[in-house]
Amino acid sequence: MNAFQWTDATSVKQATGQNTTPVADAMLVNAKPESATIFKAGGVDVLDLMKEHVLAPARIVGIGNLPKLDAIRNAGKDGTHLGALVTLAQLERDGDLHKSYRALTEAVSHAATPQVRNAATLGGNIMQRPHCWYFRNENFKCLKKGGTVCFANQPGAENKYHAILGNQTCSAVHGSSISTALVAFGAQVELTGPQGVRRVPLEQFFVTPEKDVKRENSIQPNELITDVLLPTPAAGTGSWYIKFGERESYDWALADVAVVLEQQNGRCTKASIVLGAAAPVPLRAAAAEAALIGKPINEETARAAGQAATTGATPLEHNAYKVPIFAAIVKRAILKAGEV
Amino acid sequence: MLDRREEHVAVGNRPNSVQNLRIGAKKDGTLTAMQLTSYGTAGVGLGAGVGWIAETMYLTNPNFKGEQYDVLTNAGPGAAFRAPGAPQGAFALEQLIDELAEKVGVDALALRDKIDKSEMRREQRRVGAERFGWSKRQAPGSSPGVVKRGVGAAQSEWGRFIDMDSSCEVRLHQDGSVEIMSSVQDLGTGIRTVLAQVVAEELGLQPTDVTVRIGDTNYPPGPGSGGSKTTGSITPPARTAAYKVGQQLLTAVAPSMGVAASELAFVGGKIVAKSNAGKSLSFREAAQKLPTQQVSATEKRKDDYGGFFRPGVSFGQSGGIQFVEVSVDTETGYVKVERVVGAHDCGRPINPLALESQINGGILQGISWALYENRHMDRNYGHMMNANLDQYKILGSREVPQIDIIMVEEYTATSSTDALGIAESANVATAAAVANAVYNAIGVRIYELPITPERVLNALAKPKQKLGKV
Repeated sequence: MNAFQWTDATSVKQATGQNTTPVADAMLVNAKPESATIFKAGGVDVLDLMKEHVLAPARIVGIGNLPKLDAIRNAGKDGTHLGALVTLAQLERDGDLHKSYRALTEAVSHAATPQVRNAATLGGNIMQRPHCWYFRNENFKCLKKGGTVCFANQPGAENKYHAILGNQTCSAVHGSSISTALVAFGAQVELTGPQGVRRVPLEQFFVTPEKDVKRENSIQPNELITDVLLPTPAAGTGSWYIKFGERESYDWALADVAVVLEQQNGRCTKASIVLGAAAPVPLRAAAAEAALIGKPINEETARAAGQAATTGATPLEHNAYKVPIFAAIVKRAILKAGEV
Repeated sequence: MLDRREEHVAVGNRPNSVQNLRIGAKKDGTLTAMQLTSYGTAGVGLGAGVGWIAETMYLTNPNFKGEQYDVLTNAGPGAAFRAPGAPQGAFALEQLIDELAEKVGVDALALRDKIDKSEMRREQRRVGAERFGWSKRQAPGSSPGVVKRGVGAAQSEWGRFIDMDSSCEVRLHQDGSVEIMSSVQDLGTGIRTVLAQVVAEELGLQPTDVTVRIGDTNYPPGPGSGGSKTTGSITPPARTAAYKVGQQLLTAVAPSMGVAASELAFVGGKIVAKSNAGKSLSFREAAQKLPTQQVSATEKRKDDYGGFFRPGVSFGQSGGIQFVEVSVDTETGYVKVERVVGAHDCGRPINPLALESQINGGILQGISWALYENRHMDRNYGHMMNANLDQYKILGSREVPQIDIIMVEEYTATSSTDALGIAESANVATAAAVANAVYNAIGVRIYELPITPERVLNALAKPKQKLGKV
C-alpha cells in the first residue's frame, strides 16, 4: 500500500470542498495518483483496492464522522431516510425496516461478515467497485482502468462469476447486493456537491459499460452520497431477497434477487424484480415482472417468471450455469414475497 | 514474511491430478485386477505422488499395473497439503469401489469386507456404520423433492512414519521441578501437551507439573512435523528419558525409605513403597534427596520392538473410514455436508481431545477441498486470479457439519507409547466420501473437484452414464 495523507472532514460542506475524485477516476491507468484525493467512510472497499495496488491515492478524506448522516429516519408518508453513514449492522438490526422492507434487511444480513457489516456504510456499499478478478488484479489493465481489453470476455478467460446479461462490453458484475433491494423498492439517492443537492433514482444512478465502462455510477467529482430515500410501500406489499453463493459464510453472490410485489384481490398488481450478480448493474428483470402482472402468485406463475428473468441472457464460456440458478431463486423469492 | 498473494503464487499447491483407473472383479466382487494411470503436477518439480493409494488400499487385488506421470508446468511448485497424493488417489479409487459395489449388487461396505484385508478397517466399518445409521441408506437418486439427501463412505490410509532422529532430554531438579526439552515444534497439533502427559504419567505427576521446552535448536534434535510422524517419533524417547530420570530418583531415596529402589513406585505425586502404601514421600521431598542439583537423561527414538518391518504389525497403515451425509439442491446445484462420522485409528490415543480436534480439522479441510477450494489460473496470461482469501474459497463457520469421531484404539506393543499421528489420515477419505454421498443423493457421479453448483448442474443436465462391465 502507498503512503498517503489523511484528513478527517467535520462537515459535508468541508468534505465537498476538498477537490476529491471519484475512486473510479483515481484508478484509471493514466490518472495521476500523486494528485488524487478520495473519500473514505468505512474504508472496507478502499482498503481492499489499496492492498491490491490498484488504487493509490495521495490523499484520503475521512468522512466517517460527518454529523447527522448515521441515522435511519422515518418521514411518514414520504418514506424512510437512510443516512449514507448508516452501517450495514444498523440496517440489519432496525425493526421497522425489517417489517416494511424485508428484502432489504435480508440483503443486508447476508452481506459480507458481521465484522464487515459493523464497519461498512450504506454509501460505501453502493459505491463499491466490482469484484471482477481481472479488474482487481494489478497485472491486468482492463477497460475499467482505461485499458483496451476486457480480459474476462476473451476466449479461455476465467469468467464463472461474471455477468450473463448486458455483458458485451465488460462482464464485471456490480458488487453491491444491497442495491438490488434498494432498486426494487424504488430508492432514491441524494448526492451533495459544492453546487448543492440532487436526487436521482438509484436505478438511474448506476451506469452501464456501454454508457461509460470506466465507472459504475454517475457520481461527480466532489460529490458525496448523503442520503438514500426509500418510498413507503403501498398496503399489500410483500418483499423478499435471496442470495445464492458457493458458501453461506462470507461469499459474494453468484446470483441474487430482490422481489417486491403488490397484490390486490389475489392478483399481482405491481412487481419489481431486480437481479444481482447478473449484469454490470443491478438489473430489473422486466420480462419476469411482466409475467406476474395480473396473475395470482403461485408455483406456476412464479416458475414462469423465474424462467423469464434471464430472457436474452448471453452467457460466457463458464457461467451458463447461472441461468438455472436465477430461475430457481427468482421463483423462490416471488413465492416468499407473495406470502404477505 | 510473505503476504497472502505471495503465499498463493510462490509457496506451492496440492498437486492437481488426473487419474484413469480401471478395475476388474468377479461377479461376487473378488478383485482380479486394477490398472492406474495417474498424472500429477508439482509445477517445475517432480514427485506429485498422486498414485499410490490405488496400489496399497486393497491388498487382496492380485494384479496391479500402475503408471504415474509427473506433468511439468510453470504454474508454481507442488507442496505438502495434508497427506500428499493420498486424497487425490482416494477420490478416484473410493468412488470406483462404490461403483463396483453397485455393479455387482452388494452394499459398498460389504464389498470392502470382502476385498480389504485389514482387520482394523473391518472393525471401523462396523462401528462407524452403526453410529452413522448406514443401514438406512436409500438407493441412489431415490431421495424425494428438490433438495435431495444422500450418504456415502470412503476409506483412508496413511503410512506409519517414524523419524529416528528424534531425541529429548528430561531433567529433574532438586526443587522437584521437571523439564522436558526437545527441538521438536508444535504446528498446532498439541505436542507440548502430549509430551507433558507422557512425562507426567511416568513420574506420577500431573501434566501441569512438567515444563515443556521445544522449538529451539539448542535442545536435542527433534523430528520435523511432516508425514504425521511427530507423536510416534518423539513420545517413546520422552517416556524412556522420564523413566531413566525416575530410576535415578528412586535410587537416591531408596536408602532413606528403607526399601530397595525396585520396590518403589510413582503414584499420585508421591513415591510409595509397593508393599506398604503407608510408607511414602512426596515427589518434592524426594527430589531434595538427590545427590546433585539436577539429574537428567537424554534419549533418542529407537527401532520399534522387534524391528520396523514386523509384517502385519508394526509396518502397517493407519487410517479409517468416514461416513458423510449431504443435501443437494437440484435446482441450484448447492451441496451442503450435513453430517460426518469418522472412525479412525492411530495406535494408542494419548490426548483424545487433541486427537478429535485433529480429525475434525482433517474432515473440515477435506470438505473444503471437496466443495470449495480451487486455484483459478488464467490460461491466456498465466496469472492466478484468486490469490486471496476473498476468492480462494475455504470452508467457513456456516459450512461446518455435525461431526462425530470414533477412535478405535490399537495396541501393538511396538514402542514404549504405541502412539501414532493422525493429522493426514484424517484428511484422505473426506472428498471421496462427499462425492459418494452426492452420487447417492442425485444418482449422478461427479468426477471433478471441487463439487461446485456449476458442476452439479452440468452433471444433472447430462444423460446418465452407464456403469462398465464386470
